[in-house]
Amino acid sequence: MATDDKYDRQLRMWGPHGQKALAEASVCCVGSNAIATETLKNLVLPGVAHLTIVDEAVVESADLGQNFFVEMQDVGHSRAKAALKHLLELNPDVKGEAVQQSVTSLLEKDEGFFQQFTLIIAAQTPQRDAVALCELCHRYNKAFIHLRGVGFIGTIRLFAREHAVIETKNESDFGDLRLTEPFKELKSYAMSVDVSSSSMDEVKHAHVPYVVILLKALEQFRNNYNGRLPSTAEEKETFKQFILAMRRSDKEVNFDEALKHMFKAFKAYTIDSSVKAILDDAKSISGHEPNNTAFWIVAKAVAQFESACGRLPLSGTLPDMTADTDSFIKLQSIYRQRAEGDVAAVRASVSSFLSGTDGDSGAGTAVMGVINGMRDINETHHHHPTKIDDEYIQRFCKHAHSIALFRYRTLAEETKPDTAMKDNIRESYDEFTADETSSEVPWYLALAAWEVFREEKGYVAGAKTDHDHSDDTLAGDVEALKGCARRVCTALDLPADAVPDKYLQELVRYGGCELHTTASFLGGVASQEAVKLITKQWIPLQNTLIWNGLHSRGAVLEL
Amino acid sequence: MTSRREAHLKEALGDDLYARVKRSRLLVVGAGGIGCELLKNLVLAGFDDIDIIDLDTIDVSNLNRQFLFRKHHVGQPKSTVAKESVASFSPHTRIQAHLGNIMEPRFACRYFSQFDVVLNALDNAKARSYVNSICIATERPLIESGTTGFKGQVRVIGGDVECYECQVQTNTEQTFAVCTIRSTPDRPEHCVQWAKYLYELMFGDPNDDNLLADLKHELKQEEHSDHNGKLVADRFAENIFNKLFKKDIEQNRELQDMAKNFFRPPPIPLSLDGAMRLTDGNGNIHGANGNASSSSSTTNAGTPAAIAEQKVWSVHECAQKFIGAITTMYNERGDEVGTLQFSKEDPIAVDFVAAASNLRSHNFHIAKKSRWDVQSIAGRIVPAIATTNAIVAGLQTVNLYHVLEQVMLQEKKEEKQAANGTTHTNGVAPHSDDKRSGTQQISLINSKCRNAWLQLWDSKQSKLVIGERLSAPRPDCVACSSPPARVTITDMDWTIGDFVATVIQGALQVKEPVVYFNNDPIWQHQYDDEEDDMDDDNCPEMSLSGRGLYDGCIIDINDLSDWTPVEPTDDNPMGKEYKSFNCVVFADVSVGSCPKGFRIDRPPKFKPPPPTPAPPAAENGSTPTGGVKRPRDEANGEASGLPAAKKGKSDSASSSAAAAAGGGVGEGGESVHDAIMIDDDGDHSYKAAVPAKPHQGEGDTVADAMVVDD
Repeated sequence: MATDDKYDRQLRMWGPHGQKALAEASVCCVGSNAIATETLKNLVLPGVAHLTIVDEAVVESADLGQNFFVEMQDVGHSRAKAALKHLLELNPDVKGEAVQQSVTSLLEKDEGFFQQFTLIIAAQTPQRDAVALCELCHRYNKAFIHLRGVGFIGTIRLFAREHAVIETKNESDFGDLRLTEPFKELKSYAMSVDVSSSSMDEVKHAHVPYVVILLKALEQFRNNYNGRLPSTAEEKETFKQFILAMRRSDKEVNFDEALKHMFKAFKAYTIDSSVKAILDDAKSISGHEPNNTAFWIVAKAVAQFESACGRLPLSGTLPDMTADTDSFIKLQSIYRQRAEGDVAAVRASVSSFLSGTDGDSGAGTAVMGVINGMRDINETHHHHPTKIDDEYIQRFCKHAHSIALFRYRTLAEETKPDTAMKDNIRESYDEFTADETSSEVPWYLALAAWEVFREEKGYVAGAKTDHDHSDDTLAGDVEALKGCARRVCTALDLPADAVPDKYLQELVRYGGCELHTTASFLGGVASQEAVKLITKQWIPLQNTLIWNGLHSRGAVLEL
Repeated sequence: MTSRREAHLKEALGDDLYARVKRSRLLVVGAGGIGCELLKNLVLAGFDDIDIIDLDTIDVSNLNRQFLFRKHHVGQPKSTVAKESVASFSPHTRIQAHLGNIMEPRFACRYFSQFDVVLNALDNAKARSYVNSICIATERPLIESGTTGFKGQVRVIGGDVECYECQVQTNTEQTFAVCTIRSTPDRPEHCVQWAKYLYELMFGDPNDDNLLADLKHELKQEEHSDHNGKLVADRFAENIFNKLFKKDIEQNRELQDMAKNFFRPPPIPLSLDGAMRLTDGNGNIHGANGNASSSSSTTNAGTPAAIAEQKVWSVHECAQKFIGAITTMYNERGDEVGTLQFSKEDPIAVDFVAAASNLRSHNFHIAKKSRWDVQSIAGRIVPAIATTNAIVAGLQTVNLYHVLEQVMLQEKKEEKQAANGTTHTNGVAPHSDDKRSGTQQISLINSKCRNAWLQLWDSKQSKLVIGERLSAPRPDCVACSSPPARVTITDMDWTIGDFVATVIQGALQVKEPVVYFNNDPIWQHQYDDEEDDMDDDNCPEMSLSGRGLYDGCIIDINDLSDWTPVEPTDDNPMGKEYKSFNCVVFADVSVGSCPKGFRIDRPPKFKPPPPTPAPPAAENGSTPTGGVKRPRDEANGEASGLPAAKKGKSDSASSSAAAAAGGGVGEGGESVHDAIMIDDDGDHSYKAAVPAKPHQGEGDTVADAMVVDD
């Protein structure tokens, strides 16, 4: 029974296959600070397989005020171990390990260590190490999330060399009814329903599915207009009149539905350009990421299908509509059977690729090469490297019209002046100068300067020690930070004073302190993105969130 | 006292705000998904004094996000377990946990008055609306929250900004016409709703909202007892089956034939024998006790169980489950029968509703649904996950700091006024435990508080979280445009007669009052010449407490001498809208040394006229100003001259007060009968209300950033 299942609510969001992906995911977190533990908490609860925390820090009393997952008795002990212990208490399904080492030394001595994970999270990791980790993730093809929180401000940066999503879960989905290009069975069924016949009784007439009504009206229209679709206002009105002419009474709800969905008969069948690009890409299978092998193989099969048929596999789902049971079931089975047929064609291509019998021995060998290279536990759908789960093929075909692919820029690309996204930054800066509230880019620039400060000075701007917290020191830090900001801005071709002083003053005032409130928010968003990356469902952020907790605003910018 | 552990916090907040945080008292309503996150955040945000209320106990399905609970806590109260979990982490924090419904009288205005800020972590619109009304009555700022899947929202309410009711809630109500549920269902949802009503009819204590209430008697007749008078459950179940799915359907069919309803196919009656013979090819899961999925639910392997549940039962299986659920209920949980309300976490309840709704779907040619889907529909389950709750609770906490900054400003203002000798109207000291009883309301409109909307991101958006400036309240909002008046009397032992004469007619100057408490008239103005021709329901000698009033209750006062004409309706045949206002009655001995001491803390503000003023009937006949007819003159011997019954009016304060006394809140704080889509942690209404774009042109800066640092 469902109530026995603590994952019931989330299964309703990402389904058993999403849960399986989570349950196989191994997450590494560099850092055991509040941002780290708040993120991990939200991954332990839904049940990732394994957790590794890397941190050399020991628990200090200041941690107790902001980190929920360390306790008084942990003070003086390894923070990674303490945090892990308390986190694992949340969910007995999750296993974990704590590595009491600094990421810097791990990167130097044993960078292969990071190969074993699905996702690597770096929480409050200084820029230099974060860039190095991201490079490593690029090399090993791992998903990566970098988190940073200073006072009420923070950033979340995502990276994945190639992230393929089948279930983008776009809420404004147009549906796949093929009204303008009805396949044979659909068309002949629609035409077999004689709506105008007086022998059809009232009940039946009021339950003719709107899909049938629209198909009939469109057929009539095309017969009169050289096979065109309605495009002008007058033509659309004519089309409407064809519908109304079939109607017997304004009590017929099915005809209301037909009028409501009329617009779907005006749009010719098209394949979204981004989907088309993926399919084109798939035709040359070599060079794709091993963690997406199944995606590329099926995409190639779908591309072949599309080349042959001029359309994608049918999604096969029929929305609710007014209909009597018989016609609904009939219509449903027409769509389903067609979809199954399409899946079968794709499946056949997939098998021929996998067995290397597709006549294109080069591609077959390439496929096998890629498959043999698969070693990712990130791969959610393979048990034998020579077989792709049939459910995966079905899911792919069902969502073929909305698949998506993302290639993220690395942190190194972001931070090097010659590869930085100057245009995006400039555009956002211009928005800022027009309206302060419409862009958070000054916070991004201020934090970039803050990183430079830390790199150069060896301490965090405004960080007070017990001996030294005079106002002079603070003022000095503000001045030094202004200098860093000028350099950052100039390198990005922005005015040197692009970051208003008050932003820098505010950062210095925080002294690098971590606030639980910020950690809670950033941890929530980061884990949400982690779920998207691991389950390969929904569209992950592209690629940076800039969080302004002073005004509850979170802006997304590609950097 | 600043401990070392909070050094960072103090630094970021600044000394003043930090100090204010330290002496703040907070109320958190709800210890579910958001409540757990919030409690943790508040403790780590420096707050030391928190009350938390929840009426629920912990269910297994909470454990994927309500991180203060473990498996061994299942069945225990959420509020107390949450408190214990946090206390073990943060022993210096004073947390008071209450197991109960926020709408109980013990948590009314008096209770709310002791807090600086109220934070909602609720899961249903009814309780949200209630808390909103009490916060308005007691002038407490309220930080509201909700999540649905990956989306969420936080709203800041109080003082000079919009309240919960100000924003028209669109697309929230999913109400079905009575006849659709009863006789002409055409969607699975209709059958599920019907099955829920049936469940309460058979195993609960159905209230008047139950559309099938009249069936209760008929079902009773199907009871079958043995010679000892003991109910024979399986025979009863069989009788019920044949009545509901065969006899009633046959009748329905005849009616439909008579009504010549050609637009729907005639329903198919189904007898139990017939059902047992029907297997419609959906696999063969055996047994009426649903052991198909009860075994393995460990290590992420809820998955196979979940898949089994997503199968659609055959008619045969539905019949088995239906009979099985009824017999189990009577044979094993007989002592609960008569008290149950539908709970989406009760497997037998879900079995029953899934089976009954599918059988009815079969009757009416509607597609059957899996148990899993029925549970979603019946329990109004919206997927809830840890990540979204964490984000929303974080947004609430940020806003809490900003609210406190405004509280500090207000307090400074009041201190200044006090220093200048400005005192309260009648010179009496404010409530001892009233945190802020100043006459001026907190101002939030130009604060750094933001209504924050967490969106489901896609590549077209540049914002994940939209922070929207707060806006001024809707002038005609039923909830906040006329906040209740507030009076304090020495004690609730005053007689009703004294109270009406001294306070209502005397101080508040209501000439011809009719006073309601919980929609119940406790005082009706009597005209001198009528004393003998009508029953006088007034009990002037009865005490207020004897009549059920309590310290901090809200009453509704109408003035028969002052009205405007409106369109007559069934409820209001005379078409008169009387001037009325709500009033909180506090008891505090300190308001007077003499027995009848009292104080008017806030004068009345009449409720706004109805939103669509009726075409003045006055123009065609009786004039409102000229010959004012007294109510009784027109009434047909009934006391219909009284203002229309409050029921159904969207008067949140009084209707909520009614709810407070009447209970009527089901498991999980969800009212079983409000057909509003509600989940564990959020409210659908938020989804519809997300604005496409934030308001432009807000001129906020960080110059006045977080802190007023010296």
